[in-house]
Amino acid sequence: MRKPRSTALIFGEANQSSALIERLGEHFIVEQFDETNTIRRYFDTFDWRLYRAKRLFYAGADTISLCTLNESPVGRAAAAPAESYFWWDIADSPLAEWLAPIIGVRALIPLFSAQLSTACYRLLNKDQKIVVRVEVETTVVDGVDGDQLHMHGVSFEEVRGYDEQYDTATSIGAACGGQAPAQKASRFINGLSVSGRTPLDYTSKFAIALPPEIPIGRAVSAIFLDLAGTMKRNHDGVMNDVDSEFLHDFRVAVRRARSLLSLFRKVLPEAECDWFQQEFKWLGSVTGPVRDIDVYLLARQHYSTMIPASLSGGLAPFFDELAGHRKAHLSALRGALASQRYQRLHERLHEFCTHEESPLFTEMRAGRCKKLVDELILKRFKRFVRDGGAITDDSVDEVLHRLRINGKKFRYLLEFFSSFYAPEDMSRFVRHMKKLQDNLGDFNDLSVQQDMLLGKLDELSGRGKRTMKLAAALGGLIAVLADRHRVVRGEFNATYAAFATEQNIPKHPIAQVHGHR
Amino acid sequence: MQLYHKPMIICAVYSSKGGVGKTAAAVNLAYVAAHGGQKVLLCDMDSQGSASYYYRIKPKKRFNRARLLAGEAESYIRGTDYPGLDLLPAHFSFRKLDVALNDRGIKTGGSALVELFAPLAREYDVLLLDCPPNLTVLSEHIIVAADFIIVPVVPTTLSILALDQLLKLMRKLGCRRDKLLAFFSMVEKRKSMHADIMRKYSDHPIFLSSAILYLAEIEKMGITRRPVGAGTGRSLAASYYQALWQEIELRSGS
Repeated sequence: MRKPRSTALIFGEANQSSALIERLGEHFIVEQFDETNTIRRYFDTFDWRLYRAKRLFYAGADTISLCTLNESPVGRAAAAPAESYFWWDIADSPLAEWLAPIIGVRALIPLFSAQLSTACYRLLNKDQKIVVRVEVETTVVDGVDGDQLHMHGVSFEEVRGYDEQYDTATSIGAACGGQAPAQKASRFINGLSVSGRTPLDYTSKFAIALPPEIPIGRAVSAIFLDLAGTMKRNHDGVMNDVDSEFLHDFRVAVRRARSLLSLFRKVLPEAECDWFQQEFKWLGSVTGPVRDIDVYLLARQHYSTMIPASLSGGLAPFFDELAGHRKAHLSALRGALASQRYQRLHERLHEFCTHEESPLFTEMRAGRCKKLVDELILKRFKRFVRDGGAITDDSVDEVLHRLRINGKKFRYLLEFFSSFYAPEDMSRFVRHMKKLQDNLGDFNDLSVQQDMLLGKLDELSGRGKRTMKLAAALGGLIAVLADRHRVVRGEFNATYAAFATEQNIPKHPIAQVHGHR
Repeated sequence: MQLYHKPMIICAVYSSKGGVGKTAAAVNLAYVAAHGGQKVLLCDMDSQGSASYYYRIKPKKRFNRARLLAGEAESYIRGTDYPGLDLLPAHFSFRKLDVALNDRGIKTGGSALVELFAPLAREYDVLLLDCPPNLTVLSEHIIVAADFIIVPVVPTTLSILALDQLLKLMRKLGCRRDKLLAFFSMVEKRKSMHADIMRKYSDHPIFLSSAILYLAEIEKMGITRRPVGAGTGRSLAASYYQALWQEIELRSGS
């Protein structure tokens, strides 16, 4: 059986939709039966995770809704208004199941608010029977620049068996200037256009495309400016402690900046290089403690499931104490990011990267960047393969940690200059490398976590029940982590062998960089 | 499929006597069922078209008995003003439905209507039939096709006789006796005969305990042209039909 149809038309002006109602009155008895005024606040994560998944989220007075990009409902739940939403804030609603895999640990933060006025009409025949339902909706969005955006839409809903009347009503709608909305002209997309945000205007991935002919100084400048931009964009989210990923992305930008300085050390002016290295190191150290604690707090649920339920209850004071420490560290971090030292770092970096008299743009650094990068990549790759190949079952942990750090630096190098090389070669290489880095990353995390928990265990004193329970839980966790640590270490050789096969290595772009472009 | 979707229930509101509150029951029970969240189709099988009139629905021009029997009913269903409730309007040509059934060589007691209604099960939870007041071939087809036959009985001697006739017919057709659900309709408490008959038969297993009193608001449906529960104020009649539908649902096990 054919489902009753519905259609939406958009109008350029408010008076067009009121003229439509008048015209409909010539063919039907028009009865207005309801009028509502609501405010709809649209949300997404800072890095557009919902938009990327072709979803949008909005909150009304007492409900939250997940929809497709053209606002067809996916799910809806009752929820009190909030400034931001984590999926676990609404864990008891069916929406949480949809949201969790999409947004992960990120918060949904407001994009813009829309005021919706809806007038509901019924079109009746001469028997006073409803034959078509019509809704006239006006949306007003306050733009960041003080302007207001007005949108006018009319939707028609067919009543089963009254197809001719529906066709009449919709053709009157079209005759009055109504147009079918393109997906790109949805309320959400239009609202965004005045909100100050543009879809996908932020990604945590490094994604600038450098032209192959770019000189060294210009390339370094472009990369630094992009990294400084990432730090600035995440600044407010860190200061307001919106979610853990603002700080994470901020720190990754700092690490990338430090890597760039270290990779290009030989071709950069020494004094500037030393100063920036020292300042970024400081920035890394002031942002570290909060991130370290975040890692544990985010893993709280996971930790609790790693040990028997009879022990996991004992971990509560451990996490409570971490949360307490976090407050103190966050306060220090806020102080650092509000300091003149931080301000000065950005100012000097900006000057270094943009001033035409900057030593970055002297003749010495005017050589083709790709030539240098080709050499660097080859050197780094050879070193990585040499160091990795030398690791045996008897090698000490330190060697693996060093390989991990070198691997990370190498990956940053590839990311900065990936636009110099064929994307398919680059992605194949990164894919091969990822498995190895995951193994090294897990190995490092397990070492750090064991050390931290052992340190905590050493600090415990007293014989109270609470302390005993915490000690038992920490002991249980350390045992599980140590076991996992052994397994991951045991897997290294096989993972490395799979990475460094005879067949793989010659295919890597790195082994044939000189052959490209 | 049936693991995930309850089969559609066919309830025929039937009485061989006219003026017993049959159409009022069909119209209001359909409204109550839809209001409770079920997807309901009310089929107006009576050529007088009273149920269609109450819902302000006229049949499409092309609709007639032949199209119904050709299995095209789905194309002529119309939405009422109420969510979840559609109506297949009556047509004047329905007055000769039983003749047509005979002409088509369909044997009495066969499954002609069962086949006609089967495709509707994809869309509806409940099919309510408002049947014409007579004892004809059509009545027999309806009795066979329905899962439950809901019979309004005015507490008078003649109504009880009519009920008895129906039971005989059901025996002849080989129908289960427990699919007959009778209720007292248009009850006037001040009439001693009504009270006497209700007392005598109220414990009989085919009678439901809910009854519909004679109320002016039910009669006024001809003016308001809407079910009693669809008005703005509180309705006593609506609460009677609500209780009656709950009891039918309980008996039907849905």
